[in-house]
Amino acid sequence: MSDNSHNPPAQDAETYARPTDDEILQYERKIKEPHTLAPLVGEKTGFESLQAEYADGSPTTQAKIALLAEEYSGLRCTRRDGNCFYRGLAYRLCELVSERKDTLWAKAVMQRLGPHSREAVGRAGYDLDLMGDFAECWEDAVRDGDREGAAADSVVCWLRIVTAAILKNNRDMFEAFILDSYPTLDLFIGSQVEPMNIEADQPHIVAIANALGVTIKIGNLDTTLNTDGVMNWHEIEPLEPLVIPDSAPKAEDQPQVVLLYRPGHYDILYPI
Amino acid sequence: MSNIFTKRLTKELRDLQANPPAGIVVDKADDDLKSWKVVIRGAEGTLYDGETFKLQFKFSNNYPLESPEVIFLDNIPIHPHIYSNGHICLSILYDQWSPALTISSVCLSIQSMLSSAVKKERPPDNAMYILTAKKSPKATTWAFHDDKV
Repeated sequence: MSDNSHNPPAQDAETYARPTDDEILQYERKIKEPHTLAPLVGEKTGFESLQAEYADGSPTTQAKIALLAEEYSGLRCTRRDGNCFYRGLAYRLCELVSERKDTLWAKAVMQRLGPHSREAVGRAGYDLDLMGDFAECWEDAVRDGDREGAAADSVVCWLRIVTAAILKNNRDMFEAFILDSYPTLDLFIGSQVEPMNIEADQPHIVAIANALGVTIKIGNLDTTLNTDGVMNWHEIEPLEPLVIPDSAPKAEDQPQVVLLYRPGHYDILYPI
Repeated sequence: MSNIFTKRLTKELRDLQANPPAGIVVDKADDDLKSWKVVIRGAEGTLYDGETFKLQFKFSNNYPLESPEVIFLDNIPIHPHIYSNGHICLSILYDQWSPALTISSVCLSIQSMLSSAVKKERPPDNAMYILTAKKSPKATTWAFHDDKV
């Protein structure tokens, strides 16, 4: 721009090159609109829409979707707002517990997502008087089989705090995961776990699986790994499994929460 | 949600009045709890030692899931992250807000931000910002580039 006095178009270019904050916000709203209007958790569907979405995608992705369609009965899409991992997990776990109400597994899960989680949050130094209302939303939703309630932002918020608490309470173990990208675990928690709308990654998933005592199985639709069209699954098992009495009937299953991962997003998968 | 809003703010108000952190005083909280004024005092041994400043907090019904709107009123501190219209460039007030934060922790963060200033000066883009900024700082797209001050 050194001689822009002789070059009015360049000055114009400069004027228009940098959008105002207002324009940026309007643009952001516009591109986010379909997502903010989407239901928090959608209806259960088959894999047709996923197949259509990737009709022009890589053969690897298409082969993975074809395999999913054989092994899974369907999926539920979650809103793409950065809370989808927590929301999908909460919704599905609530559903699994209400389908198995009064089983020993369901009772053990209730113990973990209720008193056990509250204890961890308190031990990590959070004020339970302030956070307890969110815990109550979650506990009530699961007890009542209220899946919509389990998908609420207040539950996402609580699961974030539980995740943060497990990270804090197991500092030595989790620091190894994050210290190459964040100077301290607390800075990581303050910017990647506690704030809403920030997506979960491996450490978050390991932590919340430990808290809830539930295995979280994640199918990865991404193509960066050379998996030749074979779905790559990650099973994240809790380090401290549920304590279920030996007297439990053998037929009583211990279901997993299964999610489908695409970069930056998780949806719920339903086994056949 | 409004139930959580009322319970939460009532408790925060009670805590702040019963055990206020050093240099932080609730000046006024509206009956509906939606707007508060909080006075913060510059910490001893800092550039703002002895000065007092007034913060205005506004809460939406979705608090604490949504961040409060926080601005300085009247006597705006001269600081590299505080604009002369009272807007504050501090990530926890915007995209790094978490419902685990409180009015008290926000005030302490702002006090600590004041304490770490080495020179009283306005942000370099102050003149441009105050011309274009909306009334609420939450309508600004903030870029946070300096964690030191």
